[in-house]
Amino acid sequence: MKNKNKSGSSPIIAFFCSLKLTIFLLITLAAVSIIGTIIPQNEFKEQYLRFYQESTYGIMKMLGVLDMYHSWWFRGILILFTINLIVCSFKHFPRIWKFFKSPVTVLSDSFLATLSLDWKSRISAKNIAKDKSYGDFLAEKLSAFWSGSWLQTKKEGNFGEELHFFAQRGLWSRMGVYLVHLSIIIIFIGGIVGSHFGLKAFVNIPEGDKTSIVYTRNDERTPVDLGFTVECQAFHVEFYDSGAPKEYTSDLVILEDGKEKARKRIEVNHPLSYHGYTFYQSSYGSAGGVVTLQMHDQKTGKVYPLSLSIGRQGTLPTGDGWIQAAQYETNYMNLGPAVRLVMPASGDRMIQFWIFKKYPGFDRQNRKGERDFVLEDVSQRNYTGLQVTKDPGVWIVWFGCFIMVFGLFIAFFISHRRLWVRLCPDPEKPERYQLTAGGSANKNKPGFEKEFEHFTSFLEEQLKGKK
Amino acid sequence: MNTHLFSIVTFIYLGGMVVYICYLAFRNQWVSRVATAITLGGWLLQTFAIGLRWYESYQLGMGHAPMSNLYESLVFFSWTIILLYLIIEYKYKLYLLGAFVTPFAAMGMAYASISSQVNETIQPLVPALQSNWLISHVITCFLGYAAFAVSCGVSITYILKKRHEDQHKKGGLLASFPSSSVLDELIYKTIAIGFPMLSIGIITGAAWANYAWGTYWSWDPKETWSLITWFIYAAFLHARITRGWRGIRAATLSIIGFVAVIFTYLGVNLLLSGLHSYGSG
Repeated sequence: MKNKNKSGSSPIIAFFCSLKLTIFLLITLAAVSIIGTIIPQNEFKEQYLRFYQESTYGIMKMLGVLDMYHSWWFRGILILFTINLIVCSFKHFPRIWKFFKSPVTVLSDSFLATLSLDWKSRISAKNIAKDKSYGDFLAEKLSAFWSGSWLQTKKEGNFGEELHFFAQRGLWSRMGVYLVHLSIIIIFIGGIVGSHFGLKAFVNIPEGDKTSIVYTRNDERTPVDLGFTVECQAFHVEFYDSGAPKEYTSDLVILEDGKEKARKRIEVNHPLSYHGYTFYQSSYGSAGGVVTLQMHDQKTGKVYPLSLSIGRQGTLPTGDGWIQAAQYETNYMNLGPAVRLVMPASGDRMIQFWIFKKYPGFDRQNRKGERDFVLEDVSQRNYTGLQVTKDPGVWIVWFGCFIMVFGLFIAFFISHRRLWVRLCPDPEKPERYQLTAGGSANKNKPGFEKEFEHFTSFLEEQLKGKK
Repeated sequence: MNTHLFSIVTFIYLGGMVVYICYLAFRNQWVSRVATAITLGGWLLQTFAIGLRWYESYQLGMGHAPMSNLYESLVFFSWTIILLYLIIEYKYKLYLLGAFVTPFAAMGMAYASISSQVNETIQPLVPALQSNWLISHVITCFLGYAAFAVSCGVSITYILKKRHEDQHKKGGLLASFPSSSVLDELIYKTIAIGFPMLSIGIITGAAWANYAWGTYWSWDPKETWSLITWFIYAAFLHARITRGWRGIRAATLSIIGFVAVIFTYLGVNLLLSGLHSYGSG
């Protein structure tokens, strides 16, 4: 690259469009990015205080290294990088555009001197059919090479009319680098759209429960109303013999206005999408136990079924009070599974008592209350951990990635190859022509050298009648 | 069975490496042919053993491509390095390069076979790895890594040769090396393969992460280090066309780039924690 400082552009522009700045920024980005892989990012304060002093934590927080990829200075480098990329691309684009707009179609001697490949020969007019001009003759012969995409230019030279032929292949590969640069900007735009209009949230839904509220993943854990309801009908987990999880799945149902709108068994790598939101199987865990009870009302003699989540209050089936399964033990006082129940008694008083699965009559005999309880079963319930995202920018990012891959391939693997042929009368012998060829390729030069050799021997064969 | 074959492959590659180094010293065409034959033989055996391991995983009822843990990835890494090297050797007749490239493959295999950190057994796939993205992601990443390994080998050769040329020394081993401009071209060529592959590897990884976790980029250490590698090679590509950066400086960037590759591949899993922990066992 030439330093065109003298061409009148301002020093600021010159600074932003220098390739040295590009290299500096790329190396800087690489170097500072390391920080965030060594210092854990976005942890809770308590987590950091286990390793760092309060004052160190304060400094790190201030410098933004605890969330460095979103810090003002990292963004600053990215913005500078983007400006550099845009300014550089605009500055160098006209040079490339020339190949499209005004390709060199005439092989002058001075131009030939700049080419790495050249070839000279002479042909006798005898080899040219009588009824044809030598131009038509050569054009016809050349049409067999590079599928005949030859451009013919006539020019008055020093020794008579010169004929110039030009053909090129892979011109579009010159655009590759600009496509890659463009793709980076498209990806940035996609990322910005996603972070401004998108949502990253999570929700844990116990089996059999439903929710329309999810929580953002940032520090605030802000609740977000989805506008529809997600129900987890069932959750399954399977393990390998080694104990490693094999798969875990959730049967999700989307409900809107009480009607089922979508249903899918999601698992890792197989999410469910609805209305721009996508639900990913992310984790699972125990949602505690569910206690199944029977309530016997001694007055009426009726038996009511009742199920309670451990630790939560539930309404009595008769509707006149509450009850809580406060504690569950698998083997309480060696009497087997037992649950401690809490209920309001007269006044502000509360009563609590144990019931045992093995002894259904225990509560009736022991407490002799108006209502007694029989423990039928205790089951563990899982919750499914769902990642919920909405990212309207993701398709922009994929589009950018596609452009990048396409751009990289044409930039690296397609070579812009050009061939020129010049035919002019020989000043020494009137019945002879001077034949000159030149070639240029911007990539894979050894490969093109072979192609050029092939081309010149083709010319030789065709024009001199050599077989 | 397959691990036994891989141990044999390790010795074959070590043998090939020794013969390539001998070729460097003797410059006898027959030595290079022997080196190529040994390496090709090792590669064919390794290919067979990878196929066998794949088949055995089905016999064990797991049925997955052998690319799911550190052992399998090391094997695949050296497989791609040798594949790429043999193609370049065939195309460019650069037998000298073998001495600088086969050590990477031999070391990879030796580390896989010997280290106690590396579990050789076929393990079932955890849920996150059960995806069609696995094969395309792993293949593109490792093709990139292999190309970078070759370019690192060439860059070392280049720096030695360039210093030798600049000092106008004559004779010695370095005199018989290809000229620095040929080597420079080859550094560019291998990075021109590696860079698009790394880019696709990062993109397929992002697409997969988006499918599995709902986010295409989370600045996880593995992701970040792959991006660091990408930045370094991007810097190399620009350095090559910048006055004052061409030559030894650019070649140094390519060597630093490969250090970043190794850290992305091994360092992140062994030293840092993150989402991408499959490669550590």
